Amino acid sequence: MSGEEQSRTTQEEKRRRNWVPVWTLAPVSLWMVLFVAVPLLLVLMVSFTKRGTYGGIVYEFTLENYARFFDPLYFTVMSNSLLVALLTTVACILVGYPFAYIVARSPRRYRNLLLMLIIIPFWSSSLIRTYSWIVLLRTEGVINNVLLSAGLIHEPLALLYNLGAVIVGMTYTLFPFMVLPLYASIEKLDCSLLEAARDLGARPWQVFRRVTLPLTMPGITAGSLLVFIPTLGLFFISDLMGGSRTMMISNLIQNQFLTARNWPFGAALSVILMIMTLILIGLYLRSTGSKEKLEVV
Amino acid sequence: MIELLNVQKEFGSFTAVKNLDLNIKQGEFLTLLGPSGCGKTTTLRMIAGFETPTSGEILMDGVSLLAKQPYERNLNTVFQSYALFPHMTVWDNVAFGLRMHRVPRNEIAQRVKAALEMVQLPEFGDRLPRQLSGGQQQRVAIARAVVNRPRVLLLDEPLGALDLKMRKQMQLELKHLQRHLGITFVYVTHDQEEALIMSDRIGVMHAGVLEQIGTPDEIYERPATAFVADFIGETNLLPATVGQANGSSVLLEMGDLRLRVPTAGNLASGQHVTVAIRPEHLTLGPANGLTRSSPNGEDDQLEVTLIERIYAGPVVKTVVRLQTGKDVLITDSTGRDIPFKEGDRAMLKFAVGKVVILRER
Repeated sequence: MSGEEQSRTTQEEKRRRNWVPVWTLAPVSLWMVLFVAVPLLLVLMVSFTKRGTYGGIVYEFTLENYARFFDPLYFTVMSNSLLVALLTTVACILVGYPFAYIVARSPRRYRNLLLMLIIIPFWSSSLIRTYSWIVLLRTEGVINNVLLSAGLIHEPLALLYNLGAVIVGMTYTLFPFMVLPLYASIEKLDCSLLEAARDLGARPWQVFRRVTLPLTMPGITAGSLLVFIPTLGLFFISDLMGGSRTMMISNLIQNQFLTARNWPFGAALSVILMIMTLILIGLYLRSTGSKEKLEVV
Repeated sequence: MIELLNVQKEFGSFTAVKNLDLNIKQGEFLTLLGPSGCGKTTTLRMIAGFETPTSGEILMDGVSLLAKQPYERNLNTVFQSYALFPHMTVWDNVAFGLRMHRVPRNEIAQRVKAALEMVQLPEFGDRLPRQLSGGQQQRVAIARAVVNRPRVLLLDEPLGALDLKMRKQMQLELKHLQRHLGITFVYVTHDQEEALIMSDRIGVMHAGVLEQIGTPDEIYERPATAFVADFIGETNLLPATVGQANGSSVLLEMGDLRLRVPTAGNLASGQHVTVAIRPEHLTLGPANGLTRSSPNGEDDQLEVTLIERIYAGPVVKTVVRLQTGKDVLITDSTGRDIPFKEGDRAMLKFAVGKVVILRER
C-alpha cells in the first residue's frame, strides 16, 4: 500500500467516524429545534407584529410593542419584579446558607437524610403547596388564629396579599435551588483551611468572612442565579398570594396572552424578559470565568 | 516549655492517646514518630487547640492552654496538606496571620518580604498557590507560619506529599531553619529516617502510648520496647532467659550463648525476656577451628546455618537460622566477602554491649 493510499483510507475512516456523533446528536437536535428554537422564533416574530382588533395577529412589522414597554406603568411592574426577585434571592441566601452549612458539616450518615427533608415536599405540586401557604397566612388562617388565641395580637394581621407574602411564597418554592448548590460548595470546603485560618489568629467571624465566604461564593452565585431567574418567571405565586396590587412581569405576560388577548405585546415582554435573563447568565459566566483573577482580601 | 500532663483523648470508644506525659523543651526539635493511627497527629492537634483532651492538662510556660482558642495560643501549624488559601495570592497567604493580629501595614510588608526571602520565594508573591509546585507550596506554608514569630511551630507530616528527592532536601532545609530561627519545632512523621535526621529528640508513639522518648541515637541504639526496636531500622528480636542477675548487669542465656548485659531494671533469675540486636552488630565466623573461649562463663557465639545472601547496594544482607529454628538477619558492608555459601554452618558472633533487653509492655 502506498503512502498516498494509506492517507486516503485514514481520511475516509476519519470522515466515517465523524458521522457517529452527528447521528447520536440528531434526536436531541431535532427535539431542541422543534420545541425550543421554533417556539422562541415564533415568539420573537410575533413580538414584531400588530394586534388585530379582536385579539388576532396582524402580520405587519412594527416596533410598537417594544416602545410600549417604556411606559412608566410597565416600568413599575418590571422594577417590582426585579425587587421581588432580589429580595427572594437574599431571603433564600439568609435561610439557605446556615441550613446548607449545618447539613454539610453534620455527620455523613445524616447528610442525605437532611437533604431529603427539603426535597420531599417538592414531590407534590407547587400549586398545592402555595395554597397551603394561603391557609397558613390568610386573615382567618392558622398563624393569625394561633396568635389571636394566644392573646399576642388583638386583630388579625394582614399577612397575605402583599409583596411580603409573594416573597415568602417564592422563597419557599425556590429554596432547594439555593440550598443544593450551596451545599455542594460548602461540602467541598477543606476543613483544614478553616483550621489554618484559626491557627493564624482569625476569630470565628473573620474565618467566615475571609475564608468560608469567598470559597463558597461559586455556590452563592449559582444558587442566586437559580433563584433569581425563575422568580422573574413564576406567575402563579404572585397571582395567588400577591393580590391585585402586586403585578409582576410574569403576571403581565400571562395577562397579555390569556386575558387581554394582546399576543404581540405579550411576546415582546417575553423577549425583554429573556434578554434580561441572558444578560444575567452572561454576567454570571463572566464572574465564574474570571475568578482566577478575583482577589478577595 | 510545653508540658502535657497525663493527657488522654477518646473518640467515642476509641482511645487515640493514652496517659501521655510529654515535656517539650525551649528551642528543641522534637519529633513524634509512629505509624498512622498511633495518636501523634491527635497529640499535635491538641497542642494546636483543634482537639480538646478528654482528660489531662496542657501547659505552656506553666499556664494552661486548654481554655485558650487556637488563635490565642502563641503557636502556628504547618498542615500536611499545606492548607494554603486557594483564593489568595502567596503574599496574602503569608500576610494573613499578621493582618489578623492587626500588625501595622508597613511592618506587614516588611515581614512578609523577609519571610518569602527566607524560603527563597521572593518573586512569587503575586502567584496563586495552585500555580506553585508542591515544594514551593510547602515553603509558602512554612513562611505563612513563621512570619508570625510563634514560640512553637507544629508541623504535621509537612513533607509527606513531596517526592523523595525534594523531601531529602527539605529535611535539611527545615532543620537549618529551625536552628536559624531558634523556634521550638514539634514535628510529626511516620518516616523513621526523617525523624533520625532532623530531630533533637524523638518520641515514638504506638497505639496511643508514648513508648520511648530520647535522642535519635538513644532511640536507635537503646530501644526500650520491641515496638521501638522494630519500627526504627531493622532489628532482630530474640527470646532469652535471665541467668544470674547481679545488680547492674545480668547474664543472658540463649541456647549456648551466655552474654553479660548491663541493665537498669530489676530482672529476676530465670525470667524470660526479649532482646534486640541490630543486624550490623552481628558477624559470621567459621564453625570449626575457632576456640570457644568462655573464661568467665560467657560465650558470645551461636552455631547457625546460612540460609540466604542478598545483595542490597551498600550492604549485603545475610539470613541465618538458629538451632531453635528462628531466622536472624545480618548486614555487612558490600565488599567484605564471607567465605560461606547457602547451607553452610557458621558461628554467629554478637557484638558485646550492643544487645538490648526490652521492656515488656
